[in-house]
Amino acid sequence: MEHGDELQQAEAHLKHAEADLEGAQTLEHAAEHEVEEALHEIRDIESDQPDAHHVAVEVATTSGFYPDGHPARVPIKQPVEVELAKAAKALRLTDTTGWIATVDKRIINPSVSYEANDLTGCVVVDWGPPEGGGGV
Amino acid sequence: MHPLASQTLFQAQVEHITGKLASLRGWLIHGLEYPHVDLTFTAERRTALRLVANCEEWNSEPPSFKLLSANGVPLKSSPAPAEISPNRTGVFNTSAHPATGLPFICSPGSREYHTHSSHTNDHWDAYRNQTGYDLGGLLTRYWNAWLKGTG
Repeated sequence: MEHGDELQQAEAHLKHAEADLEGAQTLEHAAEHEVEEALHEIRDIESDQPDAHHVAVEVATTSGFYPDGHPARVPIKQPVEVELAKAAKALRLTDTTGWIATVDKRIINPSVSYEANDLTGCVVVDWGPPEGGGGV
Repeated sequence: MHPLASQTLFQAQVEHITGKLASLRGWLIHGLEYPHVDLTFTAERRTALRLVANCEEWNSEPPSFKLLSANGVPLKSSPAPAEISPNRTGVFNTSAHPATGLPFICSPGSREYHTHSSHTNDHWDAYRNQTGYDLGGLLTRYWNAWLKGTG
Protein backbone atom coordinates (compact mmCIF):
# COMPACT_ATOMS: atom_id res chain seq x y z
CA MET A 1 0.00 0.00 0.00
CA GLU A 2 1.24 3.46 -0.87
CA HIS A 3 1.80 6.00 1.90
CA GLY A 4 -0.91 8.21 0.33
CA ASP A 5 -3.49 5.44 0.58
CA GLU A 6 -2.55 4.72 4.20
CA LEU A 7 -2.91 8.36 5.05
CA GLN A 8 -6.37 8.56 3.44
CA GLN A 9 -7.46 5.43 5.26
CA ALA A 10 -6.17 6.75 8.59
CA GLU A 11 -7.98 10.05 8.01
CA ALA A 12 -11.23 8.15 7.26
CA HIS A 13 -10.81 6.15 10.48
CA LEU A 14 -10.19 9.35 12.40
CA LYS A 15 -13.37 10.94 11.00
CA HIS A 16 -15.32 7.82 11.86
CA ALA A 17 -13.94 7.82 15.37
CA GLU A 18 -14.74 11.50 15.77
CA ALA A 19 -18.32 10.86 14.64
CA ASP A 20 -18.58 7.97 17.12
CA LEU A 21 -17.23 10.20 19.88
CA GLU A 22 -19.70 12.96 19.02
CA GLY A 23 -22.57 10.47 19.13
CA ALA A 24 -21.39 9.10 22.47
CA GLN A 25 -21.12 12.61 23.89
CA THR A 26 -24.69 13.38 22.77
CA LEU A 27 -25.91 10.21 24.48
CA GLU A 28 -23.92 11.09 27.58
CA HIS A 29 -25.46 14.56 27.73
CA ALA A 30 -28.94 13.08 27.27
CA ALA A 31 -28.29 10.56 30.06
CA GLU A 32 -26.97 13.31 32.37
CA HIS A 33 -30.09 15.37 31.62
CA GLU A 34 -32.33 12.42 32.48
CA VAL A 35 -30.46 11.80 35.73
CA GLU A 36 -30.77 15.49 36.60
CA GLU A 37 -34.53 15.43 35.90
CA ALA A 38 -34.98 12.27 37.97
CA LEU A 39 -33.07 13.84 40.89
CA HIS A 40 -35.22 16.97 40.56
CA GLU A 41 -38.40 14.86 40.67
CA ILE A 42 -37.13 12.98 43.72
CA ARG A 43 -36.32 16.28 45.47
CA ASP A 44 -39.81 17.59 44.60
CA ILE A 45 -41.48 14.48 45.99
CA GLU A 46 -39.32 14.49 49.11
CA SER A 47 -40.08 18.16 49.69
CA ASP A 48 -43.82 17.33 49.97
CA GLN A 49 -43.29 14.49 52.41
CA PRO A 50 -44.18 14.86 56.07
CA ASP A 51 -41.71 14.06 58.81
CA ALA A 52 -41.45 14.53 62.56
CA HIS A 53 -41.31 18.31 62.15
CA HIS A 54 -43.53 18.81 59.10
CA VAL A 55 -46.99 17.92 57.84
CA ALA A 56 -48.16 17.66 54.23
CA VAL A 57 -51.23 19.87 53.98
CA GLU A 58 -54.04 20.35 51.48
CA VAL A 59 -57.02 22.65 52.00
CA ALA A 60 -60.26 21.39 50.44
CA THR A 61 -63.10 23.74 49.55
CA THR A 62 -65.93 23.79 47.02
CA SER A 63 -63.92 26.45 45.19
CA GLY A 64 -61.00 24.09 44.71
CA PHE A 65 -58.06 22.57 46.53
CA TYR A 66 -55.04 24.51 47.78
CA PRO A 67 -52.30 24.00 46.74
CA ASP A 68 -53.47 22.69 43.39
CA GLY A 69 -52.05 19.28 42.58
CA HIS A 70 -49.79 18.55 45.54
CA PRO A 71 -49.74 19.12 49.29
CA ALA A 72 -47.65 21.83 50.92
CA ARG A 73 -44.96 20.82 53.39
CA VAL A 74 -45.32 23.06 56.43
CA PRO A 75 -43.90 23.10 59.96
CA ILE A 76 -45.98 21.07 62.40
CA LYS A 77 -45.85 23.96 64.88
CA GLN A 78 -47.32 26.46 62.38
CA PRO A 79 -50.91 27.58 63.07
CA VAL A 80 -53.39 25.99 60.64
CA GLU A 81 -54.80 29.42 59.82
CA VAL A 82 -51.62 30.33 57.91
CA GLU A 83 -52.43 27.80 55.16
CA LEU A 84 -56.13 28.73 55.30
CA ALA A 85 -55.23 32.37 54.64
CA LYS A 86 -53.11 31.32 51.65
CA ALA A 87 -55.99 29.16 50.39
CA ALA A 88 -58.46 32.03 50.74
CA LYS A 89 -56.20 34.29 48.70
CA ALA A 90 -55.47 31.70 46.01
CA LEU A 91 -59.09 30.59 45.68
CA ARG A 92 -60.44 34.17 45.90
CA LEU A 93 -62.59 33.56 48.95
CA THR A 94 -63.40 37.08 50.01
CA ASP A 95 -65.16 36.46 53.32
CA THR A 96 -64.53 33.30 55.31
CA THR A 97 -65.76 34.65 58.63
CA GLY A 98 -67.24 31.84 60.68
CA TRP A 99 -66.08 29.06 58.37
CA ILE A 100 -65.27 25.77 60.02
CA ALA A 101 -62.22 23.60 59.42
CA THR A 102 -62.47 19.84 59.83
CA VAL A 103 -60.06 16.95 59.39
CA ASP A 104 -61.65 13.53 58.96
CA LYS A 105 -64.94 15.22 59.99
CA ARG A 106 -63.42 16.38 63.29
CA ILE A 107 -63.63 20.13 63.86
CA ILE A 108 -60.20 21.61 64.50
CA ASN A 109 -59.01 24.95 65.86
CA PRO A 110 -57.27 26.88 63.05
CA SER A 111 -55.70 29.39 65.43
CA VAL A 112 -53.37 26.76 66.89
CA SER A 113 -50.79 24.47 65.30
CA TYR A 114 -51.20 21.12 63.60
CA GLU A 115 -49.41 19.58 66.58
CA ALA A 116 -51.83 21.19 69.02
CA ASN A 117 -54.71 19.87 66.90
CA ASP A 118 -53.14 16.39 67.15
CA LEU A 119 -52.49 16.29 63.40
CA THR A 120 -49.48 14.56 61.84
CA GLY A 121 -48.49 13.17 58.43
CA CYS A 122 -50.74 13.97 55.47
CA VAL A 123 -53.52 16.36 56.45
CA VAL A 124 -56.51 17.42 54.34
CA VAL A 125 -58.31 20.34 55.94
CA ASP A 126 -61.92 20.53 54.76
CA TRP A 127 -62.92 24.17 55.01
CA GLY A 128 -66.31 25.74 54.42
CA PRO A 129 -69.25 27.64 55.81
CA PRO A 130 -71.14 26.28 58.83
CA GLU A 131 -74.73 25.08 58.66
CA GLY A 132 -76.23 28.51 59.24
CA GLY A 133 -79.56 29.21 60.78
CA GLY A 134 -82.87 27.56 60.21
CA GLY A 135 -86.30 26.97 61.59
CA VAL A 136 -89.77 28.23 60.91
CA MET B 1 -81.21 36.11 34.85
CA HIS B 2 -80.62 35.11 31.26
CA PRO B 3 -80.55 31.29 30.97
CA LEU B 4 -77.10 31.31 29.36
CA ALA B 5 -75.66 33.50 32.10
CA SER B 6 -77.31 31.27 34.69
CA GLN B 7 -75.85 28.15 33.09
CA THR B 8 -72.38 29.70 32.85
CA LEU B 9 -72.40 30.66 36.51
CA PHE B 10 -73.74 27.22 37.46
CA GLN B 11 -70.98 25.45 35.55
CA ALA B 12 -68.25 27.67 37.00
CA GLN B 13 -69.47 26.90 40.52
CA VAL B 14 -69.95 23.14 40.20
CA GLU B 15 -66.60 22.74 38.43
CA HIS B 16 -64.80 22.25 41.74
CA ILE B 17 -67.29 19.75 43.15
CA THR B 18 -64.96 17.00 42.03
CA GLY B 19 -64.66 13.30 42.75
CA LYS B 20 -61.77 14.10 45.10
CA LEU B 21 -63.89 16.48 47.18
CA ALA B 22 -66.89 14.14 47.08
CA SER B 23 -64.74 11.23 48.28
CA LEU B 24 -63.38 13.32 51.14
CA ARG B 25 -66.87 14.33 52.28
CA GLY B 26 -68.78 11.13 51.60
CA TRP B 27 -70.86 12.67 48.83
CA LEU B 28 -72.12 10.55 45.98
CA ILE B 29 -72.50 12.67 42.85
CA HIS B 30 -75.34 11.53 40.57
CA GLY B 31 -75.37 14.54 38.29
CA LEU B 32 -74.13 18.10 37.95
CA GLU B 33 -75.79 19.00 34.68
CA TYR B 34 -77.48 22.39 34.47
CA PRO B 35 -79.95 23.11 35.96
CA HIS B 36 -79.72 20.20 38.42
CA VAL B 37 -77.36 19.26 41.21
CA ASP B 38 -78.10 15.70 42.27
CA LEU B 39 -76.06 14.15 45.06
CA THR B 40 -76.29 12.03 48.21
CA PHE B 41 -74.77 12.75 51.60
CA THR B 42 -73.41 9.61 53.26
CA ALA B 43 -71.62 8.99 56.54
CA GLU B 44 -71.04 6.09 58.88
CA ARG B 45 -74.03 5.28 61.08
CA ARG B 46 -76.20 7.82 59.25
CA THR B 47 -79.20 7.42 57.01
CA ALA B 48 -78.08 8.77 53.66
CA LEU B 49 -79.89 11.85 52.31
CA ARG B 50 -80.21 12.61 48.60
CA LEU B 51 -80.65 16.21 47.47
CA VAL B 52 -81.80 17.35 44.05
CA ALA B 53 -81.44 21.08 43.52
CA ASN B 54 -83.23 22.78 40.65
CA CYS B 55 -81.03 25.76 39.84
CA GLU B 56 -83.06 27.41 37.08
CA GLU B 57 -82.57 31.18 37.28
CA TRP B 58 -79.45 30.77 39.40
CA ASN B 59 -78.45 33.00 41.05
CA SER B 60 -81.18 35.61 40.72
CA GLU B 61 -83.30 32.97 42.47
CA PRO B 62 -82.10 30.41 45.03
CA PRO B 63 -82.27 26.71 44.13
CA SER B 64 -85.33 24.65 44.94
CA PHE B 65 -84.26 21.55 46.88
CA LYS B 66 -86.01 18.19 46.86
CA LEU B 67 -85.19 15.87 49.75
CA LEU B 68 -85.05 12.19 48.83
CA SER B 69 -84.12 8.87 50.33
CA ALA B 70 -80.92 7.24 49.05
CA ASN B 71 -82.96 5.28 46.50
CA GLY B 72 -84.58 8.44 45.11
CA VAL B 73 -87.97 8.39 46.82
CA PRO B 74 -89.18 11.84 47.98
CA LEU B 75 -89.30 12.18 51.76
CA LYS B 76 -92.75 12.52 53.33
CA SER B 77 -93.70 14.65 56.31
CA SER B 78 -95.17 11.87 58.42
CA PRO B 79 -93.72 9.85 59.96
CA ALA B 80 -90.64 12.06 60.34
CA PRO B 81 -88.04 10.71 57.90
CA ALA B 82 -84.92 9.15 59.43
CA GLU B 83 -82.81 10.99 56.83
CA ILE B 84 -83.49 14.35 58.50
CA SER B 85 -84.40 13.34 62.05
CA PRO B 86 -83.73 14.38 64.71
CA ASN B 87 -83.35 17.88 63.36
CA ARG B 88 -80.97 19.49 65.85
CA THR B 89 -80.05 22.48 63.72
CA GLY B 90 -83.51 23.45 62.46
CA VAL B 91 -82.16 23.48 58.89
CA PHE B 92 -84.37 20.58 57.83
CA ASN B 93 -88.07 20.99 58.38
CA THR B 94 -90.15 17.82 58.42
CA SER B 95 -93.49 19.61 58.20
CA ALA B 96 -95.23 20.12 54.87
CA HIS B 97 -94.13 23.22 52.94
CA PRO B 98 -97.18 25.27 51.88
CA ALA B 99 -96.17 25.16 48.21
CA THR B 100 -94.93 21.58 47.88
CA GLY B 101 -96.57 19.71 50.75
CA LEU B 102 -93.20 18.08 51.42
CA PRO B 103 -90.36 18.40 53.98
CA PHE B 104 -87.94 21.12 53.01
CA ILE B 105 -84.70 22.94 53.75
CA CYS B 106 -85.59 25.80 56.05
CA SER B 107 -82.42 27.86 55.81
CA PRO B 108 -81.24 30.81 53.71
CA GLY B 109 -80.32 29.76 50.19
CA SER B 110 -83.22 27.38 49.71
CA ARG B 111 -86.11 28.60 47.57
CA GLU B 112 -88.49 26.87 49.96
CA TYR B 113 -87.12 28.95 52.84
CA HIS B 114 -87.39 32.29 51.07
CA THR B 115 -90.92 31.57 49.80
CA HIS B 116 -92.19 30.37 53.18
CA SER B 117 -94.59 32.83 54.79
CA SER B 118 -92.35 33.00 57.88
CA HIS B 119 -89.36 34.22 55.87
CA THR B 120 -90.64 36.31 53.00
CA ASN B 121 -88.94 39.34 54.59
CA ASP B 122 -85.57 37.56 54.56
CA HIS B 123 -84.70 38.18 50.93
CA TRP B 124 -82.32 36.03 48.90
CA ASP B 125 -80.81 39.24 47.49
CA ALA B 126 -79.18 39.82 50.89
CA TYR B 127 -77.21 36.56 50.50
CA ARG B 128 -76.73 35.79 46.84
CA ASN B 129 -73.39 37.52 46.32
CA GLN B 130 -71.85 36.59 49.65
CA THR B 131 -68.98 34.12 49.88
CA GLY B 132 -70.38 30.82 51.10
CA TYR B 133 -73.71 31.24 49.34
CA ASP B 134 -72.58 29.94 45.99
CA LEU B 135 -73.76 26.44 45.06
CA GLY B 136 -70.82 24.74 46.76
CA GLY B 137 -71.29 26.90 49.83
CA LEU B 138 -74.99 26.05 50.11
CA LEU B 139 -74.29 22.34 49.74
CA THR B 140 -71.57 22.60 52.39
CA ARG B 141 -73.93 24.37 54.79
CA TYR B 142 -76.66 21.78 54.38
CA TRP B 143 -74.12 18.94 54.60
CA ASN B 144 -72.76 20.35 57.87
CA ALA B 145 -76.33 20.58 59.17
CA TRP B 146 -77.02 17.01 58.11
CA LEU B 147 -73.83 15.79 59.79
CA LYS B 148 -74.86 17.42 63.04
CA GLY B 149 -78.45 16.61 63.21
CA THR B 150 -79.59 13.46 61.57
CA GLY B 151 -80.12 9.88 62.56
